[in-house]
Amino acid sequence: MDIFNSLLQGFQVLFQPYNLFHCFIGVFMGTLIGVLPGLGPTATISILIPFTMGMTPVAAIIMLAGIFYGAMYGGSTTSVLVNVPGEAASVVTCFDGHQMALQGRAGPALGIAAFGSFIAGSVGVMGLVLLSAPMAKFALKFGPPEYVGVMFLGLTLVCLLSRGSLLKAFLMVFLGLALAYVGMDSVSGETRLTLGSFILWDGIGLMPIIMGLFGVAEVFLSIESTFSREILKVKGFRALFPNRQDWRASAGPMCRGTILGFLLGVLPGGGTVLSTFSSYALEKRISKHPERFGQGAIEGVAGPETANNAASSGSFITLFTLGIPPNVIMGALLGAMMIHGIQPGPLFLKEHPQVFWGVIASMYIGNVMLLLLNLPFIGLWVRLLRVPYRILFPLILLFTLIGAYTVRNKPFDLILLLIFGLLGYLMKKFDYESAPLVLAFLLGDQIEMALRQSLIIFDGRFEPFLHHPIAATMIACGLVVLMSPFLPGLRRGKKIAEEAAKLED
Amino acid sequence: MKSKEFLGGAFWFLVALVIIWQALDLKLGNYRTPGPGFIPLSVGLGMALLSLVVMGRVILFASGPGLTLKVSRNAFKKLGLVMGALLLYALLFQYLGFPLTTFLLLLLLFKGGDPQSWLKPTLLAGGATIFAYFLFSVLLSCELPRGILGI
Repeated sequence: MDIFNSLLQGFQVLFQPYNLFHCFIGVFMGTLIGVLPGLGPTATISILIPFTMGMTPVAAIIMLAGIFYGAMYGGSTTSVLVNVPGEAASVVTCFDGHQMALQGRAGPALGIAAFGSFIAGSVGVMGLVLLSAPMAKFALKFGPPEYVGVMFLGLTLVCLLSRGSLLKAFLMVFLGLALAYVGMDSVSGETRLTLGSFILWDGIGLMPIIMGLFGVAEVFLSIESTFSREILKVKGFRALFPNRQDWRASAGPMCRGTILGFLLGVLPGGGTVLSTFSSYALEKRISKHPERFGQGAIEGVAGPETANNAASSGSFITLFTLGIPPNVIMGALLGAMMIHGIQPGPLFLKEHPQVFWGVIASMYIGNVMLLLLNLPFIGLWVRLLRVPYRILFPLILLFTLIGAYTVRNKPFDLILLLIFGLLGYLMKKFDYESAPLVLAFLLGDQIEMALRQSLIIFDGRFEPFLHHPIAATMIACGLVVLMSPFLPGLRRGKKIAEEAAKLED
Repeated sequence: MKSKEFLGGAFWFLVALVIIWQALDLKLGNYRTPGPGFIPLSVGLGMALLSLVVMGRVILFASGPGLTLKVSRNAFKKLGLVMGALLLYALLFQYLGFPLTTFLLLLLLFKGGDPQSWLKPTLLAGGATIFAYFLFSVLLSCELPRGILGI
């Protein structure tokens, strides 16, 4: 009943016209960037954060959250109709969704993707509601050693699940940590790693890093490639509804995709991309006719599209209850919350119940809005695909530049944006992943604080970590991850993640 | 040694050396009372070690692709133009102001070295600049530099 009353409170917050409007804007923009290749939810959220400064924290977080799960809906449109994923988590939908479109069944493919996303999103939000309070209570038992354990596990998992070698991913973790320590030390007040320049006394902002690595770098990579797109047609609104056979075939994949996606979303280092590939792999493995996959099997659309929306809901749990972003998109959202003076974590539910329940309520209504936006207005989204990229990218860059500048009003942040944009571009070319860098940057201060406190408590010894069961378990799991190059099961998981990353390119 | 792997490792090794150098200027403290330089030094050392392993793998196993970035000449020109335009924007933003630098940037990017008339890019750049000015300066009340035009 307590949860029910809290949820009602959340709906009261959401149904204020101001907040409802921003929910709509968020899901609309999410669908838009999901449809348009070249700009993903991470880059969009990071670009828009500075522009939310004039909004209330509730409205800002509702809007930005809407962009995240909205992009999961929009991405399937381009995957099915053009065979180009609108965003990374929609890569898998290309395999069977586009094949279905070539067979004249674009409508059911889009329909099942939209309905599956709605069902998974709704169930995922219920999971978020039921699990958040118990997880927050559990997280209250966390002290510095436990936070060291969780963050260590999170960073090792991000490395395991990113593309390329574990070694290079860890290199990026160290780089991210180093970037986090530039500027003033919060304990001693000393300036660190500033190369003698007073410009760096304030440290390096999160926005230039995220917007550079994911926004500008992505534009640079997209400018390189030119592809002509053939956009397949949808026969009309009625054609979007799957028939009885489609529903029967999709029911199982949707259920499995929801559970799998939700769990992978909660896991630090997991996320929407991994969930879609895992769901596809699972459905293909258990199918009686695996040879149908890749030839237009509706299960190959239903499972992954459900999984990515469930993962997007699950991701919020780790961020809201532990204050740890499980993936880069949540990292961008964490940045937004911090800018608005909201610290997610075990006390988030207690200190900001309006924001917490308002965002959850917005996810229910946001999912309904997305279903209405994606099906009847499919023609509008298809028309947007015809806008040439050479018109879009200057506008994307402009938004990025203004966004980077307006956070601190420092021209130096524009230079930083370009540096990280170039770095992100070269990192892709040299097969280094940006996600471990960004997550380590976000967690850098927390890790240092937790580690320093732990060492003071333990009088400089590391052995007492073993006497804290939660910390010991997390650290042990992290060490298993470090050993993963030698473990077949984990190697398979990494292979799935690498296939996902390759197809993103 | 002209492999991507080796050069990447060497670059990060140099970065690690800079981090270690800067960290050694700080108070390190000890395991019982870690100072401000303790963790940064550990991070620098970790980074140096990992980058040495990356380089070592290339030397020992001759692994990794050669140094080609798979960028066509045309794409390279486009990228150079875009990066150059962005750099000029960043350097001139404060002095020329938001409207003028934005117009010039968009004009360069829309024109993009393609063989087309200047009219369409100019109209697009002008329209987009007006829209951006209205959106950022008026609607969102962002504080953007006025520069020499004073708007």
